[in-house]
Amino acid sequence: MSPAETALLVATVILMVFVFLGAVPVLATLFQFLVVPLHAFINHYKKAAPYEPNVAVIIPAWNEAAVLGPALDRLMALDYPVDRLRVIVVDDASTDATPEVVLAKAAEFPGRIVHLRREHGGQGKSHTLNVGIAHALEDDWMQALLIMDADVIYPPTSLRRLTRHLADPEVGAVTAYVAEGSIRQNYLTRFVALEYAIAQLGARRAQNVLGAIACLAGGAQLHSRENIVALGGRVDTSTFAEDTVTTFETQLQGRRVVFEPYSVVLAEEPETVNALWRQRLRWARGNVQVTGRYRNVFFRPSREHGLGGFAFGSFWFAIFLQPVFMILASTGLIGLWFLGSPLAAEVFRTLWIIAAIGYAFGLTLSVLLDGRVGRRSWREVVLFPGLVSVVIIIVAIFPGLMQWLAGLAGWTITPEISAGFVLFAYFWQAGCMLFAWLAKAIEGTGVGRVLTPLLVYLVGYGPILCAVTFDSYVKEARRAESRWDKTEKIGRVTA
Amino acid sequence: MSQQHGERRELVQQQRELDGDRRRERIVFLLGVLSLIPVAAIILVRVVFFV
Repeated sequence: MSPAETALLVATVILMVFVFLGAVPVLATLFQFLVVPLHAFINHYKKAAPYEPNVAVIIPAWNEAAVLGPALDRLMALDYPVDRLRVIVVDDASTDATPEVVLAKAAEFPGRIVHLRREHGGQGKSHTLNVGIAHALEDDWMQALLIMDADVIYPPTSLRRLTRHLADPEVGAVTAYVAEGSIRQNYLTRFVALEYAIAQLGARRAQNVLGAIACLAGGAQLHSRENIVALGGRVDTSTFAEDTVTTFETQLQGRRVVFEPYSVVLAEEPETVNALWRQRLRWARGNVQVTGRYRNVFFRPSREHGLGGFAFGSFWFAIFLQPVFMILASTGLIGLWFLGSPLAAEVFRTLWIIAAIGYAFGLTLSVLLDGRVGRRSWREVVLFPGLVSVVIIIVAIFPGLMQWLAGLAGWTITPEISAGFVLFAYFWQAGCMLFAWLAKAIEGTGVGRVLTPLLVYLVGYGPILCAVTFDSYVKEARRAESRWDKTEKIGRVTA
Repeated sequence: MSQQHGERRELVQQQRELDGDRRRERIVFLLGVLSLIPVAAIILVRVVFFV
């Protein structure tokens, strides 16, 4: 074999590896969803029992006047013994009517709502939470601690559906299904609703089965007193992802974390791509920090916890490294095309057929698990991968379709047009993130108000999250300023 | 006495709720099987198309 042939072979093998790495997120997601049905038999209900401990609810609040009133009213109307529930609102130096709202509710429900005021706030959610936790731990009354967000609405049976899992002393924390509940729906809130069904009703069930939960929902996490004490009586303040750190630490210390799918609480979610980007950038930067902090936990099986399992590590890194995998896949495919390798087309087609199978299974299962989301978000279900990717999937399944359609219309697809389409499709694996960024960049302009929703349907929802993850790498690498950039909530939650 | 009776009734109701959720969860397996239908359709279409 000549040196040139050897170089060609090596390059082909490397590029093929890149392309196969592109399949990792799809395969991991598909595997995760195949595990979900097993939750019918492998779940925590056998060890759950009616149990109503004394619960202290901590609500961190910074300028939440618009949403706190309804949230407190719903807490007071919970189907839970009145003498076993106390609410502590930690007001982080709000400058709006938050103190007045809380004090009025405290007067309406004497002895059940406490207003704690921080005069010098602005340190962030986790510091605010710690003030409330310290207050709750001051006496022995509290047996369980519920951490929630100010805008989250708790239906009557939601709390006791969580507490029943704490009847098992092995459980340290329980989390609920936080469903999107905005009254005024738009395309983005419908995408978020679908994402929450996928990521919670689907993925967290799979994590229950595998015995390792990635993250307790920030707006609905119930801890046993023992767990909070064992965690040092405080949540982490060094990262953006105090929820994830709490979740990891609980499991690393040998206590179980459980997801309860029938405890459904409602939250208001971002209506614009920019607001979504800010919220998710905070989460994604938190994930970068958590990944670094627990780098010695992943892929190291342990009898104490499931976080070191191969399956959990695969799910975690499939999402965390998804932008990298997408860029590698595009690079590999374009490289193979330029090398004139006939493998590129076959591998590309296989990749997209696997993706189609993953989408079909995951999306169908998710909307079956929450029929309300399926009814509201059917357009977003069809276009979740984006219109461009849907077209690529159709072409991958029916390779001769374009020629056939062109033949019907009397057009001729020249080799140049065909090559252009192929290169665009290869580029799209990673290029979709650029278009997701474009959707965000133009949103504030006059033309953007019309074009951004169209671009999101064209690009799909997943690439937006991938682009945010990529942005989080950049921001963390540059050690960009970190601040508590809270999502605007204006009190439009249904039910 | 009536308080004890009330608590007992409440306990029974919660146990029923738990049993109900446990039964409801068994349907998830069926939903998983149903979700294989579109997957089967994709594979079938692909195979038929190539034949």
